[in-house]
Amino acid sequence: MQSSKYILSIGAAIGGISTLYFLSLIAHLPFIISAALIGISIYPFIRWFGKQLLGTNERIGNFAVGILIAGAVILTNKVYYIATIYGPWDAWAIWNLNAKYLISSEHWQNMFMNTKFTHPDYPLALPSTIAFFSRLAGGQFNLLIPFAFHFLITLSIPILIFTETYKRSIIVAGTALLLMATNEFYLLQGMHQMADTLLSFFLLCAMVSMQQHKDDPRMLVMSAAFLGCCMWTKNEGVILTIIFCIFHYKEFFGKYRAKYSFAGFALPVVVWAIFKFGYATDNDMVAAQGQETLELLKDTARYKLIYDSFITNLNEHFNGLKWCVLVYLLLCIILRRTPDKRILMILCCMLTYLLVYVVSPNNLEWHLFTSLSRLMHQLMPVTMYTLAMMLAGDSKTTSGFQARFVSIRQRLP
Amino acid sequence: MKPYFVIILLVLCVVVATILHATKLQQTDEISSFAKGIAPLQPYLHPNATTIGFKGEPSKSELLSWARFIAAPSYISPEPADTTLVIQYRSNSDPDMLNYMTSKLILKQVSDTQYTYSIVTRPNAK
Repeated sequence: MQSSKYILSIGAAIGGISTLYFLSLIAHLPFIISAALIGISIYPFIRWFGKQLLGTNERIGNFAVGILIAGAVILTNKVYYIATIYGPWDAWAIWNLNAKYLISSEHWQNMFMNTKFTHPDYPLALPSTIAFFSRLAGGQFNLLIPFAFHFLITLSIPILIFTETYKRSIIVAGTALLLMATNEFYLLQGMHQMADTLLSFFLLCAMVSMQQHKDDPRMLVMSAAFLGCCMWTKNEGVILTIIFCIFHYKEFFGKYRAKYSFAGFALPVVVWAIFKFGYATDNDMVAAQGQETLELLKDTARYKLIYDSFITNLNEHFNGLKWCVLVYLLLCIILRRTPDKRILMILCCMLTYLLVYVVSPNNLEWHLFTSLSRLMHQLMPVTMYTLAMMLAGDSKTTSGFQARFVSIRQRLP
Repeated sequence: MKPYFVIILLVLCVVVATILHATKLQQTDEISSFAKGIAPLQPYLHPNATTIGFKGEPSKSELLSWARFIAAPSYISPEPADTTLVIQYRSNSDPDMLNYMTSKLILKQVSDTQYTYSIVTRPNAK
């Protein structure tokens, strides 16, 4: 869809700005030159990605526009009451703190001296973007910039799901949009000013691009680039990227396709590698692994604690999605069909996240309490998108029960 | 509607939400009142200055992180150094803090309703 491409372009712009700005800091470029370079690089991207394919002249119907406006207005209104000035601890003590360092072209490396209570190993897609726009707005950190940025991402996610599904089924698309626009947990996490929602946005963009890669090979480049941006956003992005690549091995690395994938991965992964191997400190989770790891793996009480916390979070924040996925899996068993690859991939990501907790060197109870709901939130938009796509009628594996959900319009001749 | 309507809608919503949110910035919370209190010491917290150490009330662990957030891109070490930023409760400060201050030369000191903010150094450093 052309409308989806506009939102994918926002994701691409964030990835491009954050990587190029970080490279310009390393190269000691004056801001005016780095801003000019970033501005100039937009032109070839628009020429390349903006080119329409034949037969893709999209027009959004009035009914769809009405739902879109309603969803956007509801979300905007709810965010006003939900958003706080500084966000929770991690927002200002890690993400916005790092953004303040990156605003300074002379002293940004002071960030890596903060080894206590902060995480200088966290990738910089979010702080780098905020730093760039702060400098563009005059050079001072302003709390309105992270707010506007996080609001844009929080709104872009449901709109992207809507634009991807409304042609198939306006009912499903509208329901997904309104469910997300009124979901307080989603909005709260979105406006917490942390990188989890940005990561979920990049993952969603990668999945949307992958969905369209057969019609348009540029989407394969975009999908790979978005996965690279996942790595450049959070450490969990590496896990998501590896699992995504395993599940889409043929699409990414098949004959004649690998060149597109490598082209997409190139910039974000190179910048991520420069950051990780040239600047970042060791990750505390990785550094702590050793002889004790085996003991942690054998400790059954840890599995029980993780399972209990997972179920509590599931029931508390994702109850609707939980039942949708469970019913879907049950139907797959009854109809003897293989579940959709995307659902299996999401479940695999969740399982890997849970397994990482088993070897966590931190106090497990505290670690689960402070982060599990955020990790689950990272996978929420792609789950919503996959379910909406299946209900709207894109999946071959669900054809037995999708018909009742397909819009009347789609079934008319 | 043309597909670019989506972008127009996004931009409009971001502008409206940001304007609405700007009205909230006038509200004071712990971090903003801390930032106001520490503002007169900012010249001592310049990033070109030597390493700034830190000593704060042991019962208020947020103080170091607040100070780092406000002072960035300056680096504030979690341990006391030759030049140290000291943040005490204005009343009922921890005895350890009071002892520490007795042996230091105060370069600058300001207070607000809750905290006393000081930049201190060794007595013979001046």
